[in-house]
Amino acid sequence: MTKEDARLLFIDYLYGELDAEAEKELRSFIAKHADLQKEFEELTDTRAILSHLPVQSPAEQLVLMPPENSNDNQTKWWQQLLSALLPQSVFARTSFGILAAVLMLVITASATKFSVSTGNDGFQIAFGKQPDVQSGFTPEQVQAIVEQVKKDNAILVAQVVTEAQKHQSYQIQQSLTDFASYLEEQRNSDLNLLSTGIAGLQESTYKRFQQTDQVLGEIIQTVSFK
Amino acid sequence: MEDARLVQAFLGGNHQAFNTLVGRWQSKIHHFAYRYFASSDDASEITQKTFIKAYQKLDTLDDVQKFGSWLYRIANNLCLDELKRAGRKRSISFETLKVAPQTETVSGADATLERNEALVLLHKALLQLPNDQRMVVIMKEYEGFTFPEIAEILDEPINTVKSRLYYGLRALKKTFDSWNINKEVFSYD
Repeated sequence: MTKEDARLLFIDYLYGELDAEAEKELRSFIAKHADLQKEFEELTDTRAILSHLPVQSPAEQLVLMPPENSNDNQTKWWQQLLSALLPQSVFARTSFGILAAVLMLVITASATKFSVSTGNDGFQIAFGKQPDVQSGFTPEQVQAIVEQVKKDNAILVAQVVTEAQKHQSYQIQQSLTDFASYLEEQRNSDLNLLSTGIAGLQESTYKRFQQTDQVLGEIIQTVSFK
Repeated sequence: MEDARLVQAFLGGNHQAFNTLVGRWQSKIHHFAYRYFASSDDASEITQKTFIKAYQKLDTLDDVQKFGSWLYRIANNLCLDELKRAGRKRSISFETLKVAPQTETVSGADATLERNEALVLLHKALLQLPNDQRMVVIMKEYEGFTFPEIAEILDEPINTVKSRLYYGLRALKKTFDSWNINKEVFSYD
């Protein structure tokens, strides 16, 4: 036995919950170790001090009254009946509850003709009488559906073509209008350029006439002075 | 009549059987709560709540032979709930107790007065213990439960219970030494 082992047994020994053989061994071990002896005496002293802790008794006796109920007799009758019919233990009550719930489900399913089925079409849950489900179409129905689909397609294609033609005509008309506008703008621009060029030529010619007159005047004046 | 038969009688509709159980256990639960809180008001409140809860939940008791342990478990849980509810207030009051009080050591002082002071300090020392250690010390030292019973009530391993008790007693010894409380003070009983 080590000191740690002895300390683990201290508490059992202290409260007399150690068997005789272990107690004898522990007492022998403690007697050989002064520190353990001291520690045990300290614990014993602590217990001796704790035994003096004062305590107060309750001031008055508690009395629990059953809940008030105006239909007391009826409630008691029902309580007695339920108490007699229902099991008392928790397990039995739980089992009883589960059984009652299952029974309720079975009755409800039976009353509503509840059915669950699975097939190639998937999972199906139904209440009440199941409708007869037709699995496919007759050849006549298929032919009629095909004819209808063809008609619908023809109408649809005609509508698409008409719309496309309208759209195309509008685009061509729009392009021609734009081109005519462009040519008109170009012509106006050219005319402006010609007009500007002629005006510049006239101005240049006028200036040259003036310069010529000025030179001739100067020559005439020089010749006159001589 | 044994507790188990009273419990069965109550479950069978005999209301008076429960009041017999109350009369039998009220003082024990009150003492337990009083030692835990050192307050008569708190002890009364915990005792009332314990029996009301027991009244409402007695049909959930699996083993009627363990009514006493079950009742203490309810009281223990209510004590912990009360600590959580008023934790801040209580922790403040515990803090004030941590200041080592001056004990009367002057020679010639009245021995009765010294003893009365020591009794007050004894309760204060117990209140300074951590909650889990205090609970185990009270259950073992004053309620007389065995270690397996305490382990069942607290839902803890037996070795944990013993460990808490060991460290609780060691802590109390230190506190008693620092406050000059020794068994000679009570030797005039």
